[in-house]
Amino acid sequence: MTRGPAFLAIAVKDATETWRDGRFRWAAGLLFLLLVAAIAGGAQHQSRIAQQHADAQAAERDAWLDKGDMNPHAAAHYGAFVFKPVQPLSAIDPGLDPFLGVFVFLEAHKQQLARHRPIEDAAPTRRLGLLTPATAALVLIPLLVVSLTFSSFAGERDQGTLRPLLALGISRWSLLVGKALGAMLPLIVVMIPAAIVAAAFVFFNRPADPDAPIGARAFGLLLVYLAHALVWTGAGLAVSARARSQAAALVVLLALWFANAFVMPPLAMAIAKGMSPSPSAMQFTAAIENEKAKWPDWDTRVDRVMERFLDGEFESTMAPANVEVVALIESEADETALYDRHFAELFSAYAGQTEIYEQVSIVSPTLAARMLSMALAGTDDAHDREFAAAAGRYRSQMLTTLNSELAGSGRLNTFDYVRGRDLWEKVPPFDYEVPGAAWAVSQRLSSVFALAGWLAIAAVAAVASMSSMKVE
Amino acid sequence: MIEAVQLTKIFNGVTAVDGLDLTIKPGEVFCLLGANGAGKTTTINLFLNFIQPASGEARISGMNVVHHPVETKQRLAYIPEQVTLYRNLTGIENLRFFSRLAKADADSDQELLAILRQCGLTEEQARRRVGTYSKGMRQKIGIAMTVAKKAEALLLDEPTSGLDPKASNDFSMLLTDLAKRGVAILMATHDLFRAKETGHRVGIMKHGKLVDVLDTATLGHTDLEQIYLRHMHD
Amino acid sequence: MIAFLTRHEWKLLATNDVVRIVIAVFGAALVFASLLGVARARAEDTAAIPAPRSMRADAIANERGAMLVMPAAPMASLAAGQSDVYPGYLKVTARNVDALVTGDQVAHPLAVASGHFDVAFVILFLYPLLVFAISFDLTAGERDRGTLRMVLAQPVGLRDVVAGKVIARAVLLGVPAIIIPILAASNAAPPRLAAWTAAVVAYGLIWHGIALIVNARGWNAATNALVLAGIWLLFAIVGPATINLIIDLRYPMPSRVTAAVQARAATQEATVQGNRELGQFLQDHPTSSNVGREGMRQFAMLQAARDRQIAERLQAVETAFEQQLQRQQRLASWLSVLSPTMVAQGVLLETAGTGRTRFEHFNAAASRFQAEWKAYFEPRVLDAATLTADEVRDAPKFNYVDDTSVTGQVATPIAGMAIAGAVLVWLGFRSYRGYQL
Repeated sequence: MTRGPAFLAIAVKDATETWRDGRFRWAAGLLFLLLVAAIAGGAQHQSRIAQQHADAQAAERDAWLDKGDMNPHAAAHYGAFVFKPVQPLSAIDPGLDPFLGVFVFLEAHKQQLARHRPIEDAAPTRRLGLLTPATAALVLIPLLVVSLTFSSFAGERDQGTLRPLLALGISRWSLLVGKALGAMLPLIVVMIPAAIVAAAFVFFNRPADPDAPIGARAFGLLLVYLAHALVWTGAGLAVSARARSQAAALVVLLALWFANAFVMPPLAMAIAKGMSPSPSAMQFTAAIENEKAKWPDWDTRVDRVMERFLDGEFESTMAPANVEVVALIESEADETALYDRHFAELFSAYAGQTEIYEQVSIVSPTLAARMLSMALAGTDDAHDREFAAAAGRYRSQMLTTLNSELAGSGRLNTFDYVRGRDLWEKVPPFDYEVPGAAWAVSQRLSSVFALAGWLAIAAVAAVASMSSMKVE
Repeated sequence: MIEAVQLTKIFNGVTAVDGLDLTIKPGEVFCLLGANGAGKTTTINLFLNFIQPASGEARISGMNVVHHPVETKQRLAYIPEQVTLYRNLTGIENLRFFSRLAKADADSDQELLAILRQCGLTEEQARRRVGTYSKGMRQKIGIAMTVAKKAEALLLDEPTSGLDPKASNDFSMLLTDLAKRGVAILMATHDLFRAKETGHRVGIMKHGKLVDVLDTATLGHTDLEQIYLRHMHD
Repeated sequence: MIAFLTRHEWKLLATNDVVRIVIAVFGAALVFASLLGVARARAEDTAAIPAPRSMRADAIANERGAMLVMPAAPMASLAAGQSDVYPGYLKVTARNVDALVTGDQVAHPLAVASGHFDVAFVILFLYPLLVFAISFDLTAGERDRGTLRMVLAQPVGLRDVVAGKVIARAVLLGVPAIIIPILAASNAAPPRLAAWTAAVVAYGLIWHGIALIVNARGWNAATNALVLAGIWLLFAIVGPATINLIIDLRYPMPSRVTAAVQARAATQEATVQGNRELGQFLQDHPTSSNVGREGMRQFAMLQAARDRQIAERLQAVETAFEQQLQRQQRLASWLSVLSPTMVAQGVLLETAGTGRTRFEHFNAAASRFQAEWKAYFEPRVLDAATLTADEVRDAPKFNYVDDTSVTGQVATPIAGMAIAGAVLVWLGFRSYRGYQL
């Protein structure tokens, strides 16, 4: 054996011991298979959905253009479907995709949330979780890290080899580096091939929009998963150095793991809901209906416009004016404002809950990493709100185009007024551009700081535990 | 009464106990000597029915232990090298637990304390957790268990190894007491001195066979050692 | 004798720090989840819907319609289930299309994704983990220390000793697992509570059985702990996640997106044709002032005719979709039998009334009510009538009667779990036959 730094000798010895352990090879092999299955499954699922959405969007555009001649307001009632584009990296982390509607129906007078969340059609057992590359990286890999680190020091102490090891004159610093490397080496054997497989799947299984820039987002994901694994490595070594025995170290780390992966998400949400309640489905609907009920009915509205017309209000802008069209445009504006306000309130309630959730998640590195993972994959609620806002803007653009055509027609009985394809073409196709990686991260700054903070804490804890390590 | 009739046990082709014939009458102390692996512990395990013989019979009070596991265990007591008890229970709680398992009559604190006192434990000691006990004290609980269940046969597996001479002597006296009450005692041991002092007869075991049986009344201390070593060298 | 051994085991467990922590954690988690659940069930209230402003039949029957509110689930405090996925209300109209309008479920998607810290969660995940935490050392420690030999030198069988140990542990965790949910859902119907309790007991039996089998292998306590942790991870976490992945890939649910486009295509002609006929009128804003009563009648007839045509065409698409959805769900449900956690989750949600069955039952009741509603109002709408206060008051009222057949439906999976648990326990005791001291 060649002479090298002491830490390398320790790392090689630990890695060799681990590798020779049949249990590790079984666990690592199983984890690798699960990772590949998750990646392949995610990619296949994502490309199928992306294809469906792209096809549907094209078919919808054809239907819109070919719907024949009709009154522009009837066209507004005919409405338009807007399908949510599928993010390329949703193959790695589908995030909230299963819990979000897949399309929005845009029509006159009414505004809706995106409909048909895939979770509605799935069996309730789907709520128990889905094996995705992100789950594997954030839940299963930490478990492997725990199994690699819990005995690092505690195991040597139990065997009685820690005392001779320290008596050899190795600095505790090189002991720590050696142990960390020894734990990371077998882990890297699993992670690097999995990352390569994932990259291959994502790049060869590109969705409909091949121009979507995903390089920065993919790199960010890799960093998040790596940082998260490092946090657990530091925690594992620190606990192992201080625990009474390796059994105690294992119990403490497993409890931390369970709390991080399973207890924290619902707990953080319970706190967020408690601090910033959002309306129930019924309350939300009732609030809108109650406000609408206070409005004048159609006849009154028309009468009032008529009064204003007789007062000469519209002489300069609209001649010959059609009172009912003015009433229609005004009521449409009121409705849009009403829905916009209620949706804005709902979305800001969501955003408020997410913010509290994110603040609570500071106590859990896994939760912070999960928030970042979803943000980088483009599948979190901030991305969904961006999409909803774009759909809302598209709706008012469409209605404005159609209604102003009606107002400008100059026809007395505007409801007889019929237009065709030339007008439908004036409504541009819905084109949604997903914001870049920088925007995604900027929405989740506190998670970035939380994960970075945890990385620092884990490193400091591991180093500090070296000086306070129990030898016996 | 402890009896072995052509008792044989084979582990993976190796004969651990080979056609053992032995009868220990009530009130008799029989000491089994032999090197490690001679088959002493296997013999005791056979009487406890922890393992089953390939052929032959182990009998307690005339009953085959294989056919009457419950009845024979009601009549026998067992003291291993380490009397392992529940560390977080007190001496008296441990004794009560084992007595109840044996369906012994003694159950009240008074009765159990009386037995423990007989066996050399003070009330204060009896009320302490067993985790704080010395080995000698735990062996005394073992004897107390024998007394409490009114055992007719007692099996001991190197009970005195690791005891200091005083504790070892106390223990021998307790055994002698038990024998006087009519208990048949089989004790496997390495301690030639103790075997000579306590035992009525001494058997030397080698490769699963009883190669010699001696009456201690007719032996001096040095005689036993010489006979034992001679057998070991053969 | 087993009762005595059980009591002895309790005494031992009571002095064990790990066991004390486990019981404290379990009790605290159950109580906390129950408190959250009770608060959640109380928050599921209804909101007032505005009174009708116009007495026109169309306004009453269709614009306002009937708002059907699903009463809070019988045991909503125990399992949030799908209550954040399906909205608990429906709007019923007298029309042919949009006869049942499902509202938006406005639960925060992040909340749906995060799940709930409810009693069902504690039972499904924490309970088995803690069963393993206090059962990984049934006999290995006593065997290695030697007390097991002392015990077996007494007239008592190994299987009695093991039974005492298992029963002591089962009761220690089982009592809080049974009592606390019953207290948290004390106003639920007894059959539902009984079914819930039976499911919890059967589920616990499965995990105790697994622990027993692993202990009977004769490994040391540390190995038992690792093996059991692996089994928990596989059965409760990785198994369901993998089964869900397989379901997603092998039995994908039909695409709602594709169905929406198909529905659009199927109704395009009827919509355009109908709209053209209706175009003579103010399609969506007819008032008696601009078309008169007769015009309103004609409008109503035309609209009904158009809607009927659209509804017919839609039905074909929707039926095809529903059939495929149900087929996929049926196929997928077979796979979940592989994980006890998935089976138990299904049973607990159905029993609590927050599974899919109750929502389907409610929808079916709403459909029947819609027929009544339509029969009452449709002639009046077609007549463009203005209703009297009496007519409005006499309109059909919806009264939801909860599904009582649920307990029968969950009996099979509960029995399945109980049998599986009993078999595992039996196998465990059987493998203890060859236990080496």
